[in-house]
Amino acid sequence: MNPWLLLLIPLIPALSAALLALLGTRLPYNAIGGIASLAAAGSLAIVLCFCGAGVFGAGQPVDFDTGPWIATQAFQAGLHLHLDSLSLCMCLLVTFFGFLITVYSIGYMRHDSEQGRFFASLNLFVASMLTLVLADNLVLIFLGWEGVGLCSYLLIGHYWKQEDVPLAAFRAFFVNRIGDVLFILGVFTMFSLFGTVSLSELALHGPALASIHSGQAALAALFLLGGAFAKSAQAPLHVWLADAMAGPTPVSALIHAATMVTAGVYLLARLDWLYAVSPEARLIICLCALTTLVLGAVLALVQTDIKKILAYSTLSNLALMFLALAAGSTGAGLLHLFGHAFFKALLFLAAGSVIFAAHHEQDVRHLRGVLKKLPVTNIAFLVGCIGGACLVPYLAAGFFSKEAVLGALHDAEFEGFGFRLSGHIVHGIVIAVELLSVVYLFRLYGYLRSDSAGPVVPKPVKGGTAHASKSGHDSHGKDDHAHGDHGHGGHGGVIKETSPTILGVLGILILAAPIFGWLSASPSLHGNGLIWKIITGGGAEPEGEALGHLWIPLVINLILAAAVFAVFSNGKRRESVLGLLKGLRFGAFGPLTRKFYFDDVYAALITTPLKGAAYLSRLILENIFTGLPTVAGMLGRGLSLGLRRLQTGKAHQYAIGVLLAVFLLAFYLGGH
Amino acid sequence: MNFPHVFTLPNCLALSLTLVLIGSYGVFRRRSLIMILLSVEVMLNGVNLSMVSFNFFRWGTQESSHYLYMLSIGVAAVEAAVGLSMIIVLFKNYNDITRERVAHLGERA
Amino acid sequence: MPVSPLVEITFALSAALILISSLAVVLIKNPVRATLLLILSFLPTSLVYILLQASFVGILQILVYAGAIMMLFTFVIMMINPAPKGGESPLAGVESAFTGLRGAVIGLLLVGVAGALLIPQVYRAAAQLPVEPVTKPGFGELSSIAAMLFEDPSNNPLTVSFELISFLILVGIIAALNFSRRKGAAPAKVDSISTRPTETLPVIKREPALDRKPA
Repeated sequence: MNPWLLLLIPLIPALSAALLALLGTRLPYNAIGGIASLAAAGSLAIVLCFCGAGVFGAGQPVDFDTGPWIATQAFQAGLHLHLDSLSLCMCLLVTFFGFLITVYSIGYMRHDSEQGRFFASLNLFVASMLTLVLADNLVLIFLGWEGVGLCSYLLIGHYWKQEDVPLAAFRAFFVNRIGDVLFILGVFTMFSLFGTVSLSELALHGPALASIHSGQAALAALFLLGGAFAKSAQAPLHVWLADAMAGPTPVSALIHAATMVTAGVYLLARLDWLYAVSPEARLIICLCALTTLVLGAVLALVQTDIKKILAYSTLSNLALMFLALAAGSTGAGLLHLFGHAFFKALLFLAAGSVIFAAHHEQDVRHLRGVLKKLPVTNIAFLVGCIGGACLVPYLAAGFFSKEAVLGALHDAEFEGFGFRLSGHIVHGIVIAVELLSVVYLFRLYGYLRSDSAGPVVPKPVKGGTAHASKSGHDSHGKDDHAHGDHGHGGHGGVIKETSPTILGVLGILILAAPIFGWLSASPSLHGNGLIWKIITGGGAEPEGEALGHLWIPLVINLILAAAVFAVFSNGKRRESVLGLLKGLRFGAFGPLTRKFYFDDVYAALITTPLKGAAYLSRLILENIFTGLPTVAGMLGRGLSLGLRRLQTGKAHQYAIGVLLAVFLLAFYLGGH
Repeated sequence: MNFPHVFTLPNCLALSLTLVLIGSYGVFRRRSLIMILLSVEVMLNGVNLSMVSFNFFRWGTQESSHYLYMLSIGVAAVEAAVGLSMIIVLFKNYNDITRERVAHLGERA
Repeated sequence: MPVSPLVEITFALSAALILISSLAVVLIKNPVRATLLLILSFLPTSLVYILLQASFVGILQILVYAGAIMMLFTFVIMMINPAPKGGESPLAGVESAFTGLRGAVIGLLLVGVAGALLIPQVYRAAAQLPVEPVTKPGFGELSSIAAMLFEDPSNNPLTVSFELISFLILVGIIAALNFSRRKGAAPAKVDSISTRPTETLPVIKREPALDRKPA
């Protein structure tokens, strides 16, 4: 296949983005969405062409190289795109979801007035992400890395006129920026150690060098880890993901569920040979991912905003992917990446459908029973929840991927810094968190499917207790304000299925998610192992649990799901349980309401000193640097005022002046 | 008794300089025009003294300074005459000879 | 040169008198008294001139300076009679930088500094100059001066300039006459003297001089 087609994959959306950015305000709305979707479809089409070209598995990679881009004596980097099995899968993921979500957005953003910018950013995001996954050297990856960060900022801040949104967008960008700095440091360390930043060369020569200079390799691994953590929202850099839900729901689906947050996972997957030789780095990944896993699950239990529940769920699942990578099984991590993309995107898009139908109401307590009026969305939600909770094997999109992760963890060992963590412990924690994920997903589904009985929680005032997104108020007892860029107030309208594009996309994903689940089964579980082979390029599979051993956890999950659903879908039952829990002071628990105090720590450590420094520098600037010209001006003025006294126009004063001048002259001429 | 020798050129010159300074103090301080003119006369007196003493102490062959003295008092006379007539005119107009009255040069309201 | 005590004493006393009376001239408020004191200061000056072997100059000092120029001053003061009390206008309230105590201090400062700088300079410079004695016979006598002025007029610049003094006096006469002319005699108020002061300083109407009450 012609390598130039490879260039077109990221180029088409980029050109479309440029076009929409320039002409966005002049085109009719349908045309904007149409152009964006066409661009995404074009990329998808080319990727599909490549799919049949024998790249999959252990096939032949395709390369596209324009020659030197950065070419100095010491350092060379080229615009080198490399398509192998993994990057083809990622491209497929990005373009597939990119296309679907762009089409979805045509319906979702129907009433929006700034569609040009939105679709341009969306296309630019797709282009950047494609660059990221197709890049063959770390510098080009960084280009895509920055691009997705930028688009994330642009898209989160889409409703910029609302109060908290610009700050949330800035927060996401800022935390990503921290990651970018660490990433760059990692690139430098890599270059200093290996002498190249090209991924192909690194994969060839890297492992040998890395095992020799393991200290420096570990340092590089840690730096790059920092970058990956920021991009993929792992602790302690996870704080931006929940606030990123301020953006439109398609954005949350695309960027913060399926693609951008997986960039970190992809990076670590590409450099897995590096992490294979640094056990310290793997230990750190394990610990941070564990923290995020538990954090996400626990906080998702107490949220009242649909999107925040799903956001914290994303945190947990990303942590799972990192855990798999830390355990050494790149394949399991990547498999879960894809599986998670399917069910999470489905959930987000279904949530978007609900939100759109309910006129941008996002509080679940006000959305009770909504799904009864939205049949397609109802099915979508159900399929997504089943996939997320892994209830049904072969049909739940995340089932086999989670099993793969668990399998990898079971035999893993994490050690470093004189500390040893057995994989069994991690395995146990993950299983516990699995149960939590069942609970929060079906709590959400229960709310949305509940009957309307039960006390009505009063609607908050528009813009209510809105503080800056730094201090969230997402728990029982405080209200989240409704997001909406138009004055679609409250529950006044009729709730029905909205746009055909939304429904169409949901329908496609309803079918696609179980298909992926089916395809992802490993051979030991009577699957064909196709996906595994494709993703890992023919790598060895871990020993998964035999299906027979899975019956017990499956049954437990099913019972738990049913129970939670029953509780939350019935108003009376829900209130009694909630009352019981409130009596136990669960939910008003300090760390839960304050998101485990991460925001407060950051505020104290970072924002307050920065504010102080900014205040100081402003003082200095205003007083000294603007004071200097003022002093000069005052000097001049004083001088002129003083000298002005000499010119009084009074004759006798002039006479006196002459006299004094004569004296001075006499003194001078006399030879002092 | 050894009488101190005070009749020297430096002393004469110091005397004339002091007269000039006294006269300039008067020019500085007095507000009436006539008094200013009188102070100028004091200054002229000092200057004349210095001229003649130079001639006596340093140049004994010709009395040139005596002639300069005559020129000096001639000029002083003319200047006093013209100045005083101006003062008379001013007094007729303003009834007031303060120097602030006639202070501003060249201003038009 | 032998020190003649008479000369020294005379010089010392005359110098003192000159200084005192000149000081009094600039400090006394009454213009009449100031004028008289100035005349008084001319006598010791004349004495000093005579000591300096400038007898003609000494006589001229009395004749011309005290006799003519001071008479001029006296007449004008009598005519104008600026104020019964003294030379200061009743507008003593007009403050400027040089009035009052501040003016006195500033004046003293200026004069004092000038003096402090210049007088030592004079002493330093003049003390090194050697005294050249008078060699001309009849130095300072009228005949000697006349000989200097009028001998050989064709080759003597002093004669011409001596005669030109009379032209100078003529200029002065014409100027004074011009001032006293009625129509357009004095510079019109609008022309050269600003009308601004009259806005700020009130014009004083005073009773005619003949009806003046004694001070």
